[in-house]
Amino acid sequence: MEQGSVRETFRLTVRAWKLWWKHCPKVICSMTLYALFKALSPYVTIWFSAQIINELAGNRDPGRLARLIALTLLLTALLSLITGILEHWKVCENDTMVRVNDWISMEKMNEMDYEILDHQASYDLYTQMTNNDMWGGWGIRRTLSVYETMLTAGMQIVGGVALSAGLFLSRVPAESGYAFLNHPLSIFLILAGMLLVSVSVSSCANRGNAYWGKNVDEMQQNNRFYFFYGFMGGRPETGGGDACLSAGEGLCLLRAEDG
Amino acid sequence: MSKRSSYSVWGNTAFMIANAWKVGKGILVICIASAAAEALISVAELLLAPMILSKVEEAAPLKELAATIAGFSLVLLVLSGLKGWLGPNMDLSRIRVRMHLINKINEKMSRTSYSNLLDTDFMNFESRASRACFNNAAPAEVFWVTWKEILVNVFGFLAYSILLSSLHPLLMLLIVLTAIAAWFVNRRILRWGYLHREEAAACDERMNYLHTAGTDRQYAKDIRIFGLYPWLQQLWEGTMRLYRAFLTKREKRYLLTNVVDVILILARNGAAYGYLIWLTLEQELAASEFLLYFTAITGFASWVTGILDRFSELYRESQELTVVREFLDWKEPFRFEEGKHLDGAEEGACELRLEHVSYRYPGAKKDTLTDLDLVIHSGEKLAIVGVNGAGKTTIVRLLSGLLDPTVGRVLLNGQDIRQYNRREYYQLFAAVFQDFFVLETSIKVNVAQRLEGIDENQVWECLEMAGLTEKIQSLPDKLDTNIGKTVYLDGVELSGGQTQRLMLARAMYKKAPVLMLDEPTAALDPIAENDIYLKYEEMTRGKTSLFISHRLASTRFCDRILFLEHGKVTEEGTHESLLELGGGYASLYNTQKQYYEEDREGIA
Repeated sequence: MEQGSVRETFRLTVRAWKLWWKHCPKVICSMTLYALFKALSPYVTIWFSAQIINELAGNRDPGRLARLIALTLLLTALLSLITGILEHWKVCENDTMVRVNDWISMEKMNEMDYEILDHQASYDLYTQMTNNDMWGGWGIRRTLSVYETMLTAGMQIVGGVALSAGLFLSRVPAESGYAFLNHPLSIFLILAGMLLVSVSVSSCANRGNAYWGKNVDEMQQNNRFYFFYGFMGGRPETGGGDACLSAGEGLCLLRAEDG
Repeated sequence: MSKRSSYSVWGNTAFMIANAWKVGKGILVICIASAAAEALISVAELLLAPMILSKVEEAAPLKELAATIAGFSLVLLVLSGLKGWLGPNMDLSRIRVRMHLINKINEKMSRTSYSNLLDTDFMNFESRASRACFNNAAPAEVFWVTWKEILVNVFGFLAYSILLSSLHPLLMLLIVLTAIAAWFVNRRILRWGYLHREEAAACDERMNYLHTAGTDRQYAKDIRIFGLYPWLQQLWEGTMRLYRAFLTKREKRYLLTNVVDVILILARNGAAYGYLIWLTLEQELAASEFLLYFTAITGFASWVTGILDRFSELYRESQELTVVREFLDWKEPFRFEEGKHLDGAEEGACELRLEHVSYRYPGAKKDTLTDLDLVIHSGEKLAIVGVNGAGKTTIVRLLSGLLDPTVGRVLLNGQDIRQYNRREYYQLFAAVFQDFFVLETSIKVNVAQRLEGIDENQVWECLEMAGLTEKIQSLPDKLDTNIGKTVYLDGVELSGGQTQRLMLARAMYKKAPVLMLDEPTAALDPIAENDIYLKYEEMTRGKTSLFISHRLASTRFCDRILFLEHGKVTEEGTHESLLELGGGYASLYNTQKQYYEEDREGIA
């Protein structure tokens, strides 16, 4: 199977998102809100924790500590509750989405002309889609998890930038010997280095995931083999008595092991 | 029904380890190594920020700070790399063990006593056992992940216990108690899903069925011709509404778990903050130590909850594995491994007798055969005729040992067949059933029913006998041509009649002393059928044979004819004697004959 270009992959992913928006928009809404709160909640806790640590390392004012702790506890509880509500909404929509996935293929197959549907290549493509979906959730369902991952990552980047902006804006004392870090070029290089590492990591992960796409033809043949011989139990009336007397039982087991 | 036994979580763990030991010992090492790596990563991440903060508090030189960061980074890099390498290897090992279980289920299904296949209990267990092993999210595979997670939580619990050992025991007790309380309350709330699983299962089954009907090629023609799609759509939408309503109800219930968690975490964190702040203000606890202890307290509670949660999951998965084990241990009514060996019967001396045999199918209200006494002499060609449901196929199944009679005995040369090794007994019979199973493999493998040691000359002889030589010669790969297009895209699809003849060739190849043909010409045209009749003498030379058919023309080639009605032999004799009798056989014959005579009168 040929690997598509980045543009083609993006186009297909957007097409899948539009399909999901058409059939179950609430999945996307629940996913978006949940990702927003899930990604940003820890930063709220981190910010307040930093204030507490700051106070402990500094003045250690009991009144201020008490206020900070109370705020941290209450806000964490509130955010946790809201995230919980959104999570349950998302789970509900996700479970529905699994069935909507079934409906999408069903709708398409019934829209097709019988001649095209009956063609082995069409059925093979459908079987391949089903296998991909069962094997690792690949297919149009994966586009939703991609959306969720992208959204969460985006939110985390925003939160991270918001929290660490102060770090890059604060000045290193001139007498420390590291004043060169104040230069915009240094900041740029540090940020570029962080970006390079992040891109390299995901690039390596993509190369690993691409193995599936490159070897799908071989896996398809093996799956066909295995699905025929590996589940003889589903055909007891024809596989049972007939297989007993023809000694086909042993043959099927050998073939299943081959698969 | 089989004798039921229950298997504990530990028993099922030992079972899985034993299976892993056979096909993939690596999973055991990977589980432990993976758990250790994850726990160590957690500990390293816990210590990282406090260590850096402590260096900052001490105003340590930059080099020392950098060395600390570098050291921790290296440790995390190595551990993360190890975890990353172990992950896919664990996936492969898990799959290997699951495949082994699937193969065991297949083996059980393929080799089980035929009567088990008619037992709904057995088939339900097979269905559940198969589901327990069906895919990567099935209990048979996830079992290893759960055990790994348990180990991670146990290692983490131990490590954090050591770290927190200097804190007040009451605080530790509060943390453990709040974690356990949350777990018990949540478990009670989450039971709702289990108690109402039938509701979800009903929707699932319905949607699975509708999805199969809507996507299976065999229904596609009917859906288009009868315009069934809008109706399917309506059914689907109705079921989806019910399913959504169930999911909404369920998640609203489950939201209570979040409320409970929030309250208990509030209590725990409040107590932890209060105690640590007191330590900081009264006993000069450093900020870095405060950070370490507070993070460790949160993590410690997670480990406790994690252990309890994972054991709950393990228990659920173990229940599914129990089904697998009970299925694999299902009692076999026939003797396969033990049993007497056949003595000389395989050389052709086969007299079969049904001695006062009655048979009732499981769940049936009345007997299919009632007090039947029937002898097939060695070398005899016997025909059995009768209307649908008379019991003809049941006789075949009883004689061939696929079923045991409810009352009475089946005798081979005067001996009860139940004492024999059943697989050896099956070697005496070659059969063409009404429902046969063609394997998606080459023609010669289908005929010979083996992968190696195929006598191709014999295969051709059998195909010639079955009248398939011309067809097979016309194929580009001849005997090596694959049948069917499900496995091999370049396979050929044989017609119904050609497939039936292939099954006949298969029966011939086996060279068994008893040949049973159950409607072997049902799908053949008259010329092909006549060809089979003409060769019947040659096919059955030196064999005992049983021919079942609705078409009375076939009975002319047999030594004796039995007419079966409502499970009993009501007439017996030759074709001529039965016609003279003027009973059921004669009536059947006249019914078949009349349409040809009416045509002749029409022409006249």
